[in-house]
Amino acid sequence: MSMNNDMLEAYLFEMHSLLEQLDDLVLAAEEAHTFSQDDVNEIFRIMHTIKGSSAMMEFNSLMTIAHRIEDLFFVIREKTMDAISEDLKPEMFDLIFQSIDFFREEIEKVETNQPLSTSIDTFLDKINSFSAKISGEATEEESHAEEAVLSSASAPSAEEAAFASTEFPYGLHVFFDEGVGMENLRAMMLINSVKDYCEESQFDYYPPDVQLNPETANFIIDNGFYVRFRTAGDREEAIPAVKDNGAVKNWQVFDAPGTASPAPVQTSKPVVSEAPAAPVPEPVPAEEPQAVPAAQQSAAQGAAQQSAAKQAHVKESLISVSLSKLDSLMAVISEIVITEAQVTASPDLKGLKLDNFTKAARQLRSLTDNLQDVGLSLRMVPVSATFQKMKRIVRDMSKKLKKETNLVLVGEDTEVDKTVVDSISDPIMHIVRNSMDHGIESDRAERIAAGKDPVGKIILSARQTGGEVIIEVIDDGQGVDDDAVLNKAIRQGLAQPGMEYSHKDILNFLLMPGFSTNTEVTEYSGRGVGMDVVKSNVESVGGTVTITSERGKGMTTTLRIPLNMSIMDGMEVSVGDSIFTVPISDIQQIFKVSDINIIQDATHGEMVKIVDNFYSIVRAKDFYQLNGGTDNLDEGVLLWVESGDNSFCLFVDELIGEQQVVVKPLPDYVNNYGIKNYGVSGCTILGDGSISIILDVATIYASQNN
Amino acid sequence: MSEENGLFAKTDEARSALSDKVHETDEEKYLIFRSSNILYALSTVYVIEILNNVSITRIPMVPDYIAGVINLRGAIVPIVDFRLLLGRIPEEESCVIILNIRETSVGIVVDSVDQMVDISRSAILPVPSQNEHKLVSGMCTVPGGVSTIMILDGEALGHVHE
Repeated sequence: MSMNNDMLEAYLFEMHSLLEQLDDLVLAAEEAHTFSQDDVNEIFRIMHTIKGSSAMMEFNSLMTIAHRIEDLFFVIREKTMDAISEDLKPEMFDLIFQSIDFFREEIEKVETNQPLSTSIDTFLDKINSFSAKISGEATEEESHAEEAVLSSASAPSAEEAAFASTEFPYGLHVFFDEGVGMENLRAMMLINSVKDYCEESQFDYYPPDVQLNPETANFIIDNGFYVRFRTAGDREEAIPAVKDNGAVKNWQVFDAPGTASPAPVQTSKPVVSEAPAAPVPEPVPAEEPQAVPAAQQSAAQGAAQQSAAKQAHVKESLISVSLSKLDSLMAVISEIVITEAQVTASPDLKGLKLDNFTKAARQLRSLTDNLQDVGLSLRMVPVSATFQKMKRIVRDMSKKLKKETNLVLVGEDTEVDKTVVDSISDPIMHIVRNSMDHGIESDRAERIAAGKDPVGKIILSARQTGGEVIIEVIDDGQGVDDDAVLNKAIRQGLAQPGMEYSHKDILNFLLMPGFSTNTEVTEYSGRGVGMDVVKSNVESVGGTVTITSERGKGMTTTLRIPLNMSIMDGMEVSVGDSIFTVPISDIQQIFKVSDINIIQDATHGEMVKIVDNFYSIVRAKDFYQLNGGTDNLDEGVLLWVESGDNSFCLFVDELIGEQQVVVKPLPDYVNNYGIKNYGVSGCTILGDGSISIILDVATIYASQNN
Repeated sequence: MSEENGLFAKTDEARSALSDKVHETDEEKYLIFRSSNILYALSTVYVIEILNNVSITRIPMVPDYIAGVINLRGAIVPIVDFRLLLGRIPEEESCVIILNIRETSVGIVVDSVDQMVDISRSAILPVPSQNEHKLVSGMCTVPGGVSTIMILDGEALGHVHE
């Protein structure tokens, strides 16, 4: 692609955020079964932006569709949602969702450098036919409205009466062509041409601030533009100026009540004299049959506008920064943290009594802590965007599978590292799909019989505890059928027939590669990727997946993900003269044993019993073939470690202490010897400048078992 | 005044000396170090610094010639024991030369560092085929001396692990 990459990047960023906004908006609107006028304006605006940006980038398919949707919403905006009959609404929502999907697909093509769709005709037809349906209905209403206008002929409507003035009693009410844009400036131009026919002091106009205030454009779109003359003769003379203006759709004359013309007396007479001076109460158009709801709507609109303004303000204070810049910032911060420890714990200071230094060092310490916290927080983003996407999936699937289901989001504002968000998005989607597909009962009667709410429920929650984020997907469906899973596991060769398996073991089969319980492949799940992919994705960011389920009650899938991967709490342990770091999050318990507690197996493996289970012992000294270190179990300590489903005891010489460490990768020069397969996953620099090797518990377990 | 003139004269001298060197394009600076009583030379373009008294953290499950890693101002730098790499028994005494080979840092442990010399490219002779070693690209005699030095191939040192 030859175009400017920055531009493309900005375009994609804009498109993604617009589509997300659109998705949220339409989902919320669908729940409310209608679009508010605000929603309509917003969608119109979004489509307009998409159209403009796509045209600039020469993405024609995107531009054309956006243009059509924009047109459609222009009609809706004019006629308001009330003009659309109830039975058309579901169709409209579907249409908009389809177009969002279409935009997403096209954007993906742009991102992957594929050619854009050229055959969009069927989709266009769909939009067009829907537009036709709406405008068909709307025109009917419009003709009614026009009749009403005609019947009142040159007599002022209540609205016009409100804009008549005693000083300038002879009015012209002008409407511009729909969608010409910049209505306020067109009004200004109109005024300028009126000046050619009439002295400036002989007429005035409303809104009065068209030249300076672009907001007036909306008023003119909604209510038209008013020009008022002192004499009827001036008005007659000025009419050609209005007539010749290319953008004017129609216009009508009106006279203030009480003038010579035989105007019928209007109900709103007392308002007349003060109305022009007080433009704040928006006049209710007389054509609108439902005056009261409209007034309410406009009040709500005002409130919404305020909140929109607030939102816009929040947006302005955000900047987007490339991740690589943040990464380098974090690298520098890590260095500072290490260097600070090196300075303040320097061996040169041993035995010296340095009060001022100690004080300053303490201050520095708290500042670097702060700096580290701020640095980390920069990379944190709320999970809400990922969660919101699930709403759409649940919505689509409930329709398709005819399983009515509500998605409840809890703790959307929980923040996690950007890389974590990226890597959990797919797993969450997969789990939610699974819950929809296999969890929620297909038959309402079945749910009612089980005493459940006929509408299924999926709770997606996120919360933060200590150094972890816990994400749970809870459904109240039928739960896991142990027997079915076990049979399947046996068929797939994952389980041994005739063996006893606990409920927990059986649930673990679900996470194994090559396991998919659904016999038929559906659109949503069972496409050969299973929960094992979820598991490996989550493990790639250092997290774990667990499933709990009760037959008939539902299933809960829990993802536990470390908040941050580059800094972690580690336990420093020594073996001979080597120092290792074991992630605190992996350590279940630390204890001493004596030889008598140890059980030997047939192949000289060692085990120890903790609570009700036996765990094998891995001696770090033997495992890593180290020279130093004790062989005597009485002298060392056992770390009972657990990572994922693997649990065992690691034997080391002694504990040095707990420390927050910055994880550093080992250079390729040493990584190339396959040490990662032995659980040497990285290293860290300790306060005294020495290096400690970080152990990956899960890999040690796997390596030991091979 | 006269003093200033003298100063100028000096810089001029230095300048001409410098330009002399620039002209001798076939000469390259080499760092000579000793390992198991053999002299080796490595082009100084690879050499970053020389460290004494470094504490090397051993890494388990790697060949013995990978001495481990060190903390060099916050960067983790791998260290290769040059003596073990060539199959010799290391001496007590040692120092570490930090190299930068194609943007990657690596340190080598040697017995001791000798001196810096300029070696003319024409003075470097090929190694007889039966004495060939993948790390040694040539040999020569110390300028103005009698001992022989092995010229090391810096690039090859960067690929010990591959």
